[in-house]
Parts: sequence; C-alpha cells; structure tokens
Amino acid sequence: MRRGMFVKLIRAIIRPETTLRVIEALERNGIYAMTRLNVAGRGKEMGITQGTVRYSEIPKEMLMIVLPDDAVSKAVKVIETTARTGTRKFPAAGNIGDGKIFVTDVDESHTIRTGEKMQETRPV
Amino acid sequence: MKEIIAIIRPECAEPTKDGLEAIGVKGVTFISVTGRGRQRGTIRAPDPEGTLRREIGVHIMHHRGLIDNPEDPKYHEPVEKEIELGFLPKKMFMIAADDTEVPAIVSTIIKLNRSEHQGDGRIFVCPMNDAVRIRTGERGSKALL
Repeated sequence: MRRGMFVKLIRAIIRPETTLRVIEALERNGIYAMTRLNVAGRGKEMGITQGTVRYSEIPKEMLMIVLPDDAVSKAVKVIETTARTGTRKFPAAGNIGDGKIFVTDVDESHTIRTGEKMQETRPV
Repeated sequence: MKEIIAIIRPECAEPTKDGLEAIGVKGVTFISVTGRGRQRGTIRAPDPEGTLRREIGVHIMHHRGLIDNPEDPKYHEPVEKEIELGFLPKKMFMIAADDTEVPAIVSTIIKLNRSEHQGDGRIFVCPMNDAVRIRTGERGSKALL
C-alpha cells in the first residue's frame, strides 16, 4: 500500500455456508488479507419464526477486510454477487438473510512486524 | 475518540493485556478470530530456527502429516515447500480511546507483539463518533473513563 492512500474497512456479515465461496471469489480478484469471525445476529425480520418458536439469533460469519479506497467498490461488488444464495428460477437473486456489507473509514494502519505506520491524509 | 482494532498472535494476548493495564487502559474487548495476511497464511517449512514451525506446528502436522519424532515409522524429513495454511487463529483487541491516548496504546501493542516474523498482525485506528455508558447514560469521552 502506498503512503497517504485512503483506506477503508469493509465488514461483511454473510451466511456461514457462503463464506468459502466468497473467499475464493475475493482470491480470484487478488484480495487475500482478511479476518474471519463467527457472529450471531438478526435483521429487520427479527430472526426466524417457525411455528410458535422464534429464533432471534442466527449464526453468521463476518469478514473484515481493509482495502485502499479505489479497490473497495470492486470488493463490495464481488462479495455482494457471490454471497447471494439465489432461487431455483433465478440463481443470481438474493434471499432474506444473505447479509449486509458495511464500509467505514480507517485513520491509521500499523504493521506490527515492521512498526510501519500509514496515516491517511484526509482533507478536512 | 478513536476505535483501535488490533489483530495479534493469540500467544501474545496475555502480555499485551498486562502491558495495556500498565499504561492505564482498562476497557478492552477481546475476540478470538481467524485471519490471514497478504501471504495467504503461507509459510516456508522448515525455517532455520524452527520458531515459526513451533508456533504453528499443529497446523503443519495437520496439513502435511509430519510427525516430529524420528523414531515414528510415519516420520519423514520435512520438505522445503510452501504450505498454504489458510486462516490462522488470532486474537482481536478492540479498544475505545481518546485521541490523545492513541499513540501510547499503539506503541505499546507494537512493542509487545513485534517478533519481526510474518504474522505479527496489524493495528487499525478508526474514527468513532460517540460512546455511551449504558449504566449512567454518560456520553462521549466521559463514558470511556
């Protein structure tokens, strides 16, 4: 990464069963560095209601990827298209529960091994 | 206010906790995560001092079927080859801190985690707009103390 480049943090919350597919698709686009964590959550549907039972916490997987600004839109597109589970009729369609992608700012990034610091030069 | 996200080696987590306590950082959230860097979790085995091998020996044995004991009939000499390990276990620290505390926290984490080997981890400092202490409803930097 170049010095003074804008950097963003992408947090993608996706279905655990689509994670491998998404990682492979990101690899094909040259994105290797990421952090994975297991989370549980729900969306605006308030979980799943099955009969009289409500499951309010659904297991998901979160991918955290830090990328330079210009690579973000492509990565988001890749995650978006590969994390969709599709229907039998429309394989590219999305379903409820496919997940969300959040993009936030990163001010500084430090590599512990070298102690190197990358500070963003953001216009105020 | 800033949010500091540090992704470090799991075995360095305890010294880092103590180090952060020593500089007066009390509130920290720890999460066990898996991750990899630009090297895709790839290592070259065996490395001359065997340090990397010890650290992630379990993974090497798992992936290559290597056994450390030469007496074992299944033992064979390790091959110099790149092994892709995929996602390695890491610990993620999340710290909310005032802007003025950030350099001290970052330098402490770097000092305690630096082994100059690949996989030491990264620190990201992200902007944070607000913080609320749920018990009292205090907001902003008051909620961090």
